[in-house]
Amino acid sequence: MKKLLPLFLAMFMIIALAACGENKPDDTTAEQRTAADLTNFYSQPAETASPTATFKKEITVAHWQAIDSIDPCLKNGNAAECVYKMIHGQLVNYDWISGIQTPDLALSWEIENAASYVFHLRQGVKFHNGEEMKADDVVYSFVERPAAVQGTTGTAVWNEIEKVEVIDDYTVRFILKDNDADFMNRIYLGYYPVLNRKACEADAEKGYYIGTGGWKIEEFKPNDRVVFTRFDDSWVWKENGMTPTEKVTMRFIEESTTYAIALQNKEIAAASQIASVDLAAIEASGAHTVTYEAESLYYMIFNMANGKFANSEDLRKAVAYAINYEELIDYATEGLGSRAYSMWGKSQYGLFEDFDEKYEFNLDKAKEYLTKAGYPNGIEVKLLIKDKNVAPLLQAQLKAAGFEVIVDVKDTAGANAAVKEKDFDLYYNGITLQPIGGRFAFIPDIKHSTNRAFYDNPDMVAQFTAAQNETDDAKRKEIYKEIQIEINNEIPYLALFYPAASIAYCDGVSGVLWEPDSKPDYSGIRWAE
Amino acid sequence: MGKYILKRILLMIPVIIGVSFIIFFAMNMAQGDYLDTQDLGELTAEQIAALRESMDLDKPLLEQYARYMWRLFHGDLGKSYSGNRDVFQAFMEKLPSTMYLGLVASLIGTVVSIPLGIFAARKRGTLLDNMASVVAVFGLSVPNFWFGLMIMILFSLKLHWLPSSGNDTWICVLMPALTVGTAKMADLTRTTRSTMLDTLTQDYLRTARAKGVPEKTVVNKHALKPAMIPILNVTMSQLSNAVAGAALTETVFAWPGVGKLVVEAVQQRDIPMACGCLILKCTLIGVIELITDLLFVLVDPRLRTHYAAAAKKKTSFFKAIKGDFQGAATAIVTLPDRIKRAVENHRKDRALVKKEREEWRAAKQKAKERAASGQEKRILVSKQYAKRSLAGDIWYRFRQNKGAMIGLFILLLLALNCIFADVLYDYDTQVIGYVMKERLQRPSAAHWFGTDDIGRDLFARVMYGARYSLAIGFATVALSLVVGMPIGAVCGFFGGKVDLLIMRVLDIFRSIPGLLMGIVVISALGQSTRSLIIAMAVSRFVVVANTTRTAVMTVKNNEYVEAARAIGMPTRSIIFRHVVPNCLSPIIVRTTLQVAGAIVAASSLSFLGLGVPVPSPEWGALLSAGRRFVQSHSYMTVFPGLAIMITVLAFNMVGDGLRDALDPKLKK
Repeated sequence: MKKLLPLFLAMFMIIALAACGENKPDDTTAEQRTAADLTNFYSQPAETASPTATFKKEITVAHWQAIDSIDPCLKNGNAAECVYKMIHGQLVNYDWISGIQTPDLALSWEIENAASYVFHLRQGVKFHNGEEMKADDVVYSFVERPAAVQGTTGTAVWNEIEKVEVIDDYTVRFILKDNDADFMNRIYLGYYPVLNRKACEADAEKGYYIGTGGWKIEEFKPNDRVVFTRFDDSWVWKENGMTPTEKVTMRFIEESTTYAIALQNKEIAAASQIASVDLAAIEASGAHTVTYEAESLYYMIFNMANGKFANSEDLRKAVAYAINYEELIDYATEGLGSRAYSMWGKSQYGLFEDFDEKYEFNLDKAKEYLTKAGYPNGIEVKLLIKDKNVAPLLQAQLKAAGFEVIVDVKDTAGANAAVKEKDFDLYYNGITLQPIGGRFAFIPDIKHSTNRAFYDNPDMVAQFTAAQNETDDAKRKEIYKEIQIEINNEIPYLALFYPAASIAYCDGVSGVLWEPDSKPDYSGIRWAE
Repeated sequence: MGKYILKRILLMIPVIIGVSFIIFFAMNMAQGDYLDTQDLGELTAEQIAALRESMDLDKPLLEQYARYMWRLFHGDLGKSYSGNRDVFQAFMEKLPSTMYLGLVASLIGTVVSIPLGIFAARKRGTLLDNMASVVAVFGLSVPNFWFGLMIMILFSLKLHWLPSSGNDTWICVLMPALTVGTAKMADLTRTTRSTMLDTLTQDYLRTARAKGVPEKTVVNKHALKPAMIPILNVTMSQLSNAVAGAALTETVFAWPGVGKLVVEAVQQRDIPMACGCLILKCTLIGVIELITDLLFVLVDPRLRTHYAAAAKKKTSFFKAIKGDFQGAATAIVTLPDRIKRAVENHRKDRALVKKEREEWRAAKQKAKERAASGQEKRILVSKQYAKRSLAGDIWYRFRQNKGAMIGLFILLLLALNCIFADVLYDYDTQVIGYVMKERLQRPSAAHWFGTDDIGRDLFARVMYGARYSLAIGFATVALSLVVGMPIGAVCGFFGGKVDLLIMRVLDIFRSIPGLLMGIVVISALGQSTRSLIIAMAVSRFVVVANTTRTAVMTVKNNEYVEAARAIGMPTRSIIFRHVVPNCLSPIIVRTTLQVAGAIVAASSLSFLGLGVPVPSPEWGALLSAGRRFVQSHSYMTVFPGLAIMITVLAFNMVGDGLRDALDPKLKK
């Protein structure tokens, strides 16, 4: 008995600890939460507190990804852009609801033609070092600095700029190498800020910390945190009213359970990228959650260069009918995502979904196409995937149709290397979308490094180029419609679903903006005490 | 001694070179380089080429390595690929918080474990001894990332005693330190208990007691000091481990330490950052190891001769090799005679045992008859005095230990479960088959352990998963024993230059954290069960070698070893017939812990997505998959955790039983 005592005591400890963690979610709420409940509002109004409310001077928020650099020439991606939104301004902003650009550092602009854009800058805008923003800073930010600092990202706009002309201290003209009808929908991105030439030339290490935003960097600890203090001279506060918050700390916490707990504990005011399994627990603690359609897409890539799917449209269609999309969405998004039929995003310019043949789950049809492809007894295929959690589900679903799936789970580097070596048959992947029509111009371009299907369609490349040059809205959309129909017919890429994203904030917190491309904007955050 | 210290410092240089070599080439064996982790879709071909050139990625590997080493010898650790950060600066920014975490974890571990181990040894077989086992089993059997999440929920969310993450205030360190310290606490408690048990049975302590010395003085002054060597070894290794980095704990608690920095660098294929940080860690660990060895000398001055470079060599390694060759030649020539003699002796022994058994049976029968007839009181001849072979003797003593038998029974059940798993559970429908409608169902009559996130029966997966977890555990330990024990025995016995050189080679492997080594090896070999076993064995054989070395160092100066030398016994025989068998106690303890550690380590690699391939239901993978649901459906982690814990306890019980059965001193 004595020897069994440690066993029982240790079992008790494990169960007791685990039981402490058990949060019985409100099953009713979970069942009621569906895709129909997703909000299409992207901000939480600032004025929710009573006029006499007092606000906390210091707020901490969680950021789901660690950042080791905040140099816009070196680091892009959603994670870094959340920092840029705090300290920098861009020429224009983008309104996801109306789908048009809004003024930011540029008060107005003129599109002379698809290769020439004139911006009239806001006057009296101060950088954090007290210098006034002028046209010369725009030239430095868009031409000189990107050429000097060799980064891996953010080059779409910089690469297409022929030159930036200074017309006067507050007017610039961008001249592009080629026509680009999407140009205005690109430059709103956070990694195209206007930097101060003087600051960057004086301090190569930290000059890019200096921006025009409402917050300035007090401290940046790579992979740990960024601390912002309010920049009272910013045009942002003069335009929108001063926030009562004086300091914001953005802590990088990568484990979703950890920041969910921190939120429930009120150690942080807000967090984004909340795991759907934590939503109920967060709401039970009194915090608020918002779930919205994310401007991302999950899709399947077929290896069109070599291997089994390369010359067999029937085999690709067999996969398209074998996937149980409803189950996949239920699993991957807890039922909050929605089916995607086109490779275009929901907010993307030129979306078309009214195809003659829409791929829905149909096991009989899948088997029929498999037989037609010459594999009545099934076929072995290799699925390349980064998300280990989804792998067993996809494997089981495809197995039911006759596909013997070997799952090859790899990290990002391994997956990209495997793609380069064409060592896969199927590749499950996700992508963040932008509102630009030409987002998927890489799909038919065999020379493009992002064309992971190795799909070669020169005619489609020409169509994309034509669309970039087309200024007539209706004609441009017609071109994108034809492209999407062809992609749907040949399915080198199979659209699966649009995921949902969630953001959470404590009671009393307001002024948080969330956008479908998953970059929360905390620049206006405040927390009523 | 001074020369030894200088030599150790100079020998760090080849260790540094060795570490950089292993990491550099292993990372290059992995698929993809840094640029493959980036989205290069917007760059032109010329820009990509220019980037490759700036990072030296367009050059042959040897040239890249040579350039890196050239810069290194000029004191330049370079800049990281990601973020273009100065490597030395990035490391030094994180080091203070890592050292802080390590020191607090060591303190917690030491303050709790050593007294607990001493009490457990003194109160062997009592409730206190079993309580120490509880701490040991618990600390070993739960993966630290799961334990960290659990205590975060308890102390932060439920009780609001501690902040959940970060390092804003001094109390933020408590939960991460407890997480890091708990697993090692188990190791230290058991090692202290084991070595104290060895020491407490020594004759000189009996003399002290006979002279009337108080028990407290006997334990603290006379018994503890000789036991301090292994204890110090484990304590200092805790500090080394913390410096090596507790990457998973740092991730769970958002602790800004070097562990996570290095793991991320490896995952991003950021070679300058990974190599540079490891070189700095290796240097720091080398200093800690040197301090450990100096402390060994302080505790046991006899070891001074072991370290002295110009010491009077009791045994020359090369002379011993020569002697061994001569001995081997003689052994081959006399082999037929020796076989004949051995067979004859065996026959005689068997005949003697048979005769004595018959006599014993006859005596027993006679006693029964007398008892039945009422003439005499029944006299039973105790089995204890029956003549047995050595194996029979060991088995007899093992059987007396009820705990060990229970552990053996559990392991047998597990073995049967593994053998008949295909009969008991349908792999396709129960183990990997999914039913989405039944996902995330709590334990019920239909699903005893509930269902997972795609509706698979958790009971079937846990039971079937025993195959994978036990195979991984055994294979890892077997591989590390086969490699590590001979190395450790040679190092410990010969000392001097041999020990110095081999230990520096082992330092290379020890300097690379186990988790990191796992990531590097699996990335290089590809994800599979085989590469998982190799990855874990590579980091574990060093522990086995170190334990064997320490144990041999303690034993080799004993009188019976001197006697064996004096009668001209070959060195090989002395090591493997006299020294190693008397060192088996800590090795057995460590081995049973290693099996448990291997099973838990597999779960840590699963946490990073590098465990067994999908959809294998390995326990660690189940635990890792369930961590997302730790708040809402915690049963998904409880049952795999329980399975690990029960298996670990069974191994420990068997290990304790074996230790006691094999210890000749405990025959009495």
